[in-house]
Amino acid sequence: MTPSATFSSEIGETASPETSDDELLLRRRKHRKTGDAIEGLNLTAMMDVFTILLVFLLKQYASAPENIPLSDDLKPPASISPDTLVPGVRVILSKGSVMVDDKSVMKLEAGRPADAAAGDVNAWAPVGQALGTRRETIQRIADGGGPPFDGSLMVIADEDTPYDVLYGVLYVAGKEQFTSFRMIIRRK
Amino acid sequence: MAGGGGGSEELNLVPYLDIMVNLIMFMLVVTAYIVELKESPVLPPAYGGAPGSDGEKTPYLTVAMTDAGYVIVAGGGAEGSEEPIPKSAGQYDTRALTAKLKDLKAALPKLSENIVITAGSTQTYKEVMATMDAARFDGSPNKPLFSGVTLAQVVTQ
Repeated sequence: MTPSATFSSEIGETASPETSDDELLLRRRKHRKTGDAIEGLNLTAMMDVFTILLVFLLKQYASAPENIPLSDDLKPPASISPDTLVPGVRVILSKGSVMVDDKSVMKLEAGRPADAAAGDVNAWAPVGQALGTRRETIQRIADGGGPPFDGSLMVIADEDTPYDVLYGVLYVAGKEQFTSFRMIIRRK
Repeated sequence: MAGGGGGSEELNLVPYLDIMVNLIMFMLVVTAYIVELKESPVLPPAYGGAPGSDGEKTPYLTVAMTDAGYVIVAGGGAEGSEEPIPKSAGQYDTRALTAKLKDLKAALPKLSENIVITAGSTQTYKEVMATMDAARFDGSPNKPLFSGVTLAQVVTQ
């Protein structure tokens, strides 16, 4: 059996002994073009899928409770606590400032409030006011059918924060009806 | 115009698709390297020990962090104090604390599941968190040593 006869039998076409393989391939390609063959890959649908995926990832990343901007000024301590994060009102205690829900409410100098004695809880009044405002907002939302105020507070503090500074913030938070403190840590 | 054509040609989406694929890969890789954050719950301070079901005070322990080391004090009907646990090489001896708390829990069956930790202005949050870990976890996978931690402050005159 000649090579041309073999190829002809494979593609199911009859070929004369004079017809070469190249001619048969050319004839077959021409035949395909006349039918409903796919001429090019339609990328529009794939682009839609990728766009939706990208937007989903961006939204998820932005709204995740783990999305806390860490830096040299804000490095939470390491711990073996296995509890997963639950979103809530956030207090961030960095070396330079105190923030309540990403809004700076107080400046610190070397981790302590300026012109305040160690352990002076009155120095944390601005933090208490900010937390009180936040609580009232949540309660107003709850009155309108939103989730109730559960008194939980995420405390994200630098590992070198003096304990009396941390305690001062917890003290004013407790006065503003925050009763469940959740200290954010780096997993060991 | 040479090469102008003027016909309605389709927009070439391949470069745009390349950018999208790279962005998605970048985001997936970056999220894998984000620092894993967890939380450690702290109970709000309460005066006195938690009352038991029979109206009696439940014995509870307080771990005081001093500049010299740990001091464990019992309260709520089990008054007394243990030998201090001194610092080891300038660091708080968290292993010794866990061992001591484990012994005390075994010796006092009615001991509260909550423990109080006090510190002062010379202790850092990192040291307090290490103490909290030592009080909560003794290595057993099923049950924590003390399930709740209350933070309190040493009042100096």
